[in-house]
Amino acid sequence: MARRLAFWLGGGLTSALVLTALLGAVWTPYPIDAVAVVERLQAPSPLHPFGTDQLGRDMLSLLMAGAGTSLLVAAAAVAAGAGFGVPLGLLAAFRGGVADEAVMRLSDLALAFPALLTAAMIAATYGPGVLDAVVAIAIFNVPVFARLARSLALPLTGRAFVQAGYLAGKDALGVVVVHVLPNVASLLVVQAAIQLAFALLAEASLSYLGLGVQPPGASWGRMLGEAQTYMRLAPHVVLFPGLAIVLAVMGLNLLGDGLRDRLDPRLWEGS
Amino acid sequence: MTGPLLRIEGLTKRYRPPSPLPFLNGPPRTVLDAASFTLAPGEALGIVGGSGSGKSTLALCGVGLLRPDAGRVVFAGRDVTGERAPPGMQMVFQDPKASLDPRRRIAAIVGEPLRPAKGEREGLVAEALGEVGLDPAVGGRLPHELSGGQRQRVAIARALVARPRLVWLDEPVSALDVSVQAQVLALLWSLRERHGLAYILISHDLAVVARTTERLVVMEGGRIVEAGTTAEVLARPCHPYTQTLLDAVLPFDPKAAKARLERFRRDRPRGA
Amino acid sequence: MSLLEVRGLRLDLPAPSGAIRVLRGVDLSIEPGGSLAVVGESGAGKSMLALTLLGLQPEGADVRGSIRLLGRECVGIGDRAMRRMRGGGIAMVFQEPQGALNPVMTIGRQVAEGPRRRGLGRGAARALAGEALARVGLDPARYPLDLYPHQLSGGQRQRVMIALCLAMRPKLLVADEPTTALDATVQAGVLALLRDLAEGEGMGLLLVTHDLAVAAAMTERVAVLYAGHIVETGPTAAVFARLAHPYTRALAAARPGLDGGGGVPIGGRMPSPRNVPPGCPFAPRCPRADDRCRAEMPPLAAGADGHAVACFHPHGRGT
Repeated sequence: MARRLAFWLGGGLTSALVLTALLGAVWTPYPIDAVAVVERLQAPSPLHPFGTDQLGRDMLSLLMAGAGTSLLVAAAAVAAGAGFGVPLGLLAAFRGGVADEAVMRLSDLALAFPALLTAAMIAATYGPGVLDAVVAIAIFNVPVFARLARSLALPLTGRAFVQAGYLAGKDALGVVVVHVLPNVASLLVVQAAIQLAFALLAEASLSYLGLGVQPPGASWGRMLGEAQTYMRLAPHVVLFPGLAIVLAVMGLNLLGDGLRDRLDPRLWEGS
Repeated sequence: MTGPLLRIEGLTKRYRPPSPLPFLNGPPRTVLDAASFTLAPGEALGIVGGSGSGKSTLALCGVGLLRPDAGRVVFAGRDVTGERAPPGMQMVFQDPKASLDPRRRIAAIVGEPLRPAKGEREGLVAEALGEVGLDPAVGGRLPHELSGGQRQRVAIARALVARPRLVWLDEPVSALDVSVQAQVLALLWSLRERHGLAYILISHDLAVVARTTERLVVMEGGRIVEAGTTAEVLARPCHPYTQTLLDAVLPFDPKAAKARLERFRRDRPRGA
Repeated sequence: MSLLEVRGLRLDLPAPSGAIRVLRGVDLSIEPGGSLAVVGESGAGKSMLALTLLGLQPEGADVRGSIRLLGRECVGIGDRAMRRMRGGGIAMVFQEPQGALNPVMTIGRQVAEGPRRRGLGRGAARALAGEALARVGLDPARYPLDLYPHQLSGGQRQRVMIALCLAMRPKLLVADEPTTALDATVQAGVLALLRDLAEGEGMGLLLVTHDLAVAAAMTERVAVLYAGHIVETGPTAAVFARLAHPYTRALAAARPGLDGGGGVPIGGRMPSPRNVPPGCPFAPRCPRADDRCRAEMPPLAAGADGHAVACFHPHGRGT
């Protein structure tokens, strides 16, 4: 029962996040670059339900626009991470030997660098920006997916149905695509949801530090970073972006857990 | 054609036990040691032995799922050593639960060995399912919806759909109940007659092999320790291990069966 | 007093589509030191019967009837009382020793666990474990107590499992397909050991198997289970001499023999316990069945020699 609740709650929060992001891309109550210094740091009111920030911009509009940025950066980074990581992991599992050793040691190396440090290095070389954040977070995601794909695929390499695939005339690539990927996909999807939560948080941290999204783009992390000086004066300027981040991360994590229980490969047991 | 369908020459496979440290693996262990035999077209050969006798390794090397360290596999006059599933050769695995992809439908599983010629595909799959005594309607189901016996029929249909000349049967019935075993064995042998198939039947149970094969190979510790016609080997076993395998087939009469077990009580067989 | 006395045992498993009727009125008994084989195909309910005897039936199962172990009723006594009963009275050897042994615990500790739980000191329990392992042919001189299960072969692991049961000094040993996962030659060794122990220790033995020949070699009495019913039971010699029930006879004919005989398949399949037809469950596959068989279940009628058959048209002696 609690598990189903987690799934629905996570699914609900995540859907809300995606809908907000989609809406924010086409319409916000106020333009997000409408600076009005006279209206700065207003408390929530019917006119501005979440108040205004230190430049007098509508917080609700900023949050709606920021949802899109955050989600896009996180999704792009996770997609890139899975796109490179899963094939590498499968290659390691099915080739073994030197390929396996190389992929795993490179994974160790990539994991040894914190995403923040990587981002700082990329920013120092190419200047900060959205792409910088995506690349830094993706680099952190590649080994996560490579390791998971490898460990999920490894026990399948010796399975009779995989061998039967070879006997049916498939080559290694064919066997991986037809027999291995579908059998490991569900757990990879679960991991993707959880990685999305991590990536969202990483994006917020990078933008908070000024390494991610640059003005005038909206980002929850940057909202937090720029507003923190006014925290005492008007707590809502940090409360709402913070709450948005917490809810989004929690939603994705719950969704991941819920999915794990749902997609549990029960088919394996059938007796 | 006059030559043998399959010739196995000095097939050898070694494994290196893995070690936690790189480059420090232990000495290789020979699990298959210079195995040789031939098989005529349409012949049925039995390979018996316990676990660790190398019989499954022999099969995997034979169909090319493992690359042998030495020796040759010559199939229909062509050297196919290390070639995965050479055309005309197929295999049925022991545990149908493991050998059928749990996420694919039966029709897709059975049709997998067929080359893309889409038009006939459905017809061939339905025909193959019919041949193994399954309603073609099971094509839409998933493996876990079938019983053990039905799953093994699906595996047999998959092996036969591309019309092979030789099928390796690696313990095809040992995961099944006695009553279902008889069904599957009877099916295998009626298919063999209809299509003139050659079989290599691998089993740890002499009784399964005795009924159905013309020649017999006994393996122990990676080596072939005895070979001959099935009738000969059963009537006059030369190697002590063959005798142990014979003794392990319990007679059906309660008194004789109880007396037989006495033999295993006094001289405990190796490995047990 | 019987060691085990089962009367009218029924077991239903709840399912969304209506209860699954697994056992439908099973009677059996074992005298102290006696042995009984329950023979049946997968799906007949034989494993569920074994688990139910130990009180290990699945959560939510509905058990009715009576199971008396050493004269004490076991149905409906609750988990804790049943656990106590298992500790001293009844132990079980499973089909797959891999699943039943803890991979990260030495075999010595696992075998000693039962005696430890009975309150024996560490040293005494360890000595007892060594003794039990020696009894099953794993002499501690060659197979030290601190080996791990993965260091042993399948047959040796099954011997450890048997030693584990032995150390609990049960009055009744239940063995569910103890050798199905093993090679033929190893099978014979483990079976010989089991019978040896049952006789030597005066333990009762309940053996569950799908192979009539194993029953022939192992036990004094046999019960053939089909679709949750016992269809034939009696002294092993009498049952094998007559093979009175058409199902028993078909099972016997299915088994391949060295002489090239046997291997006759039984047509059709056992009815699903979700959807059992009225009458004798074997009737749809039975060459002798008539309208009466399809309408009512024949009672298990015992003859003078204790050989009982549930069939309206049993095979006679020598037919």
